[in-house]
Amino acid sequence: MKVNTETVATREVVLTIEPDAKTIEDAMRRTARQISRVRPVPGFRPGRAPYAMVERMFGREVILNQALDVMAPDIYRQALKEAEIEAYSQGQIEVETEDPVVLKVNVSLAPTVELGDYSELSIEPEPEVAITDEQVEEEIEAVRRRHAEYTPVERPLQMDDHAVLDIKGVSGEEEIVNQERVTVNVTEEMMPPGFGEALVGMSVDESREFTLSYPEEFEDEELAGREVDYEVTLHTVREVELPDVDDDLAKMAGDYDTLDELREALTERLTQRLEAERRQRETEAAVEALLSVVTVEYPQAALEDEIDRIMQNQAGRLQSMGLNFQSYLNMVGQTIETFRDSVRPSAEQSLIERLALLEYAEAEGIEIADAELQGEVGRALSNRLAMQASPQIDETIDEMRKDGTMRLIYADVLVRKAAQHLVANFAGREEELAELSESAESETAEDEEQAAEGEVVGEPTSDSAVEESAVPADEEQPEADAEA
Amino acid sequence: MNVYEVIKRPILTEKTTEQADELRQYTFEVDRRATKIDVRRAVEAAFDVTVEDVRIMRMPGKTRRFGRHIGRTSTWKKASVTLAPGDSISLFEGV
Repeated sequence: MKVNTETVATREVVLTIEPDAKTIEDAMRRTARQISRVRPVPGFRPGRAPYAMVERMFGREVILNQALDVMAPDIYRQALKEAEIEAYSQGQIEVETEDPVVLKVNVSLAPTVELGDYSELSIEPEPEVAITDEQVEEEIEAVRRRHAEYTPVERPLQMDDHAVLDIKGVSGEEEIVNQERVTVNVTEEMMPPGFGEALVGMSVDESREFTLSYPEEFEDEELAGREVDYEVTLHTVREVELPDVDDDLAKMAGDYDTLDELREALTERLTQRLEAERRQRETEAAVEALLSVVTVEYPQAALEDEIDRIMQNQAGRLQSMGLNFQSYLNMVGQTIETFRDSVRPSAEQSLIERLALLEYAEAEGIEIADAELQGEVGRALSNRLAMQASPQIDETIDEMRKDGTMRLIYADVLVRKAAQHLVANFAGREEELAELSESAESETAEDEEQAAEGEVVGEPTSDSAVEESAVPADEEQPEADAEA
Repeated sequence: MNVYEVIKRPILTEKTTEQADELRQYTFEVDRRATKIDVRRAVEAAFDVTVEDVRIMRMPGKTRRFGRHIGRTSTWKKASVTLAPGDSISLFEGV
């Protein structure tokens, strides 16, 4: 077999394959027999017609095409081997010429990731999340505001009241706002500055006209520095009555008996949120640092696949909100093509990040033990499907193993773990690093126990667990220990 | 008889291909008026071979019914020709 490789784009090649004439001929003879079995040649029993008769009846092209259909995967695989290519995805195999048989196929190569020296890289570790009393008080304020009572009053408007207004704002010729009966919280922070103050003192049904300017460094560039003439009519004034900070507030806010309990819960929620944000920021910083020493090359097909993933995720999210993806697109006035284009940049970014993290995982020997993976999947499933019965989950996991979903999930979990590892590594948190490597070991051990058990009982799930758990934890361990 | 009117078509079946391969016997449908000698001349002229033996058989027509109508297929003549050792006829293109 002769194979010629020609690079046509980044990580994309065209293979020109010329299979051995002998192989082709053998295959064609086999195919001819097949054909005559299905469509017997008159005078011959099915499958007994000589090759030449079949060729004369059906034509060489028919036989060749049918033979290639059967052989293509084999030829393709062999060609890849010969050309020493690792394919990402495969295009249509086309017949270039028939005699001699020459095939052409467009192959996307697996992305390459070149991981530079990242040993010197680091990120500034963010301080541990510490909650101050003020922050908690702020949260409590927010709770109070949520449970505030609004009573209409017959008096001029004061700061911190609730007002129902018609607002019309004009800047030069352009209308900035024109809203009727909007409910606003009158505060000193209203935009543009002075708006709140300008309202104070108004009584019901009164109209006022005033002019205010937006600051030069306003977020919305359309408005920054503009002078706006406002015309405001007040319809209703409501006094805001905040509940007292006591145990009753705690009861109102949820399933808490005392104010202290509420405080505690709020503190915890706040800690979690800030912690998550901190992790997020650290991860972003670490990944960015990693990307500075990484060179990634990938074929177009990989990017398109990434976009597909994003689209699927989006569709899934919409589904859970009871929306159909297509009707969502109609709603926001996009077509599939424009949507794809709009997510392309972020898809590119996440693709590069994922590839880099996978490479990093490889370099650091990060693995996911089967039990860890199974636990992860089990958790995700029981969350999503509200399933409690574990046999069902086991079944689903088994199914996922078969249809290859498991491999995808494995990669996802691995990427997540790699990111954790990366952050811990770059931020210099040794204990966390050690912990991450250790968890793999202990879970593998656990997994083996499970597998052994399963063999005795003959449970089908555990059998496959044995196959999947090709995690050589022992190999990775000494290194990690030494580092710690 | 004119040489070119004798041979009508080769008979290609599993049986005849086997005979051709193993016994150098080739089978043709020939004109009903043709004699063994006509066949010999025709085959030798058409395929440039030496004919060793010719066997001829008359294939009687069969009764065929089409509903109420009774008909007959025509009787025809079949000739089996044995070639001299070493000779052969390629009846299919591409073999």
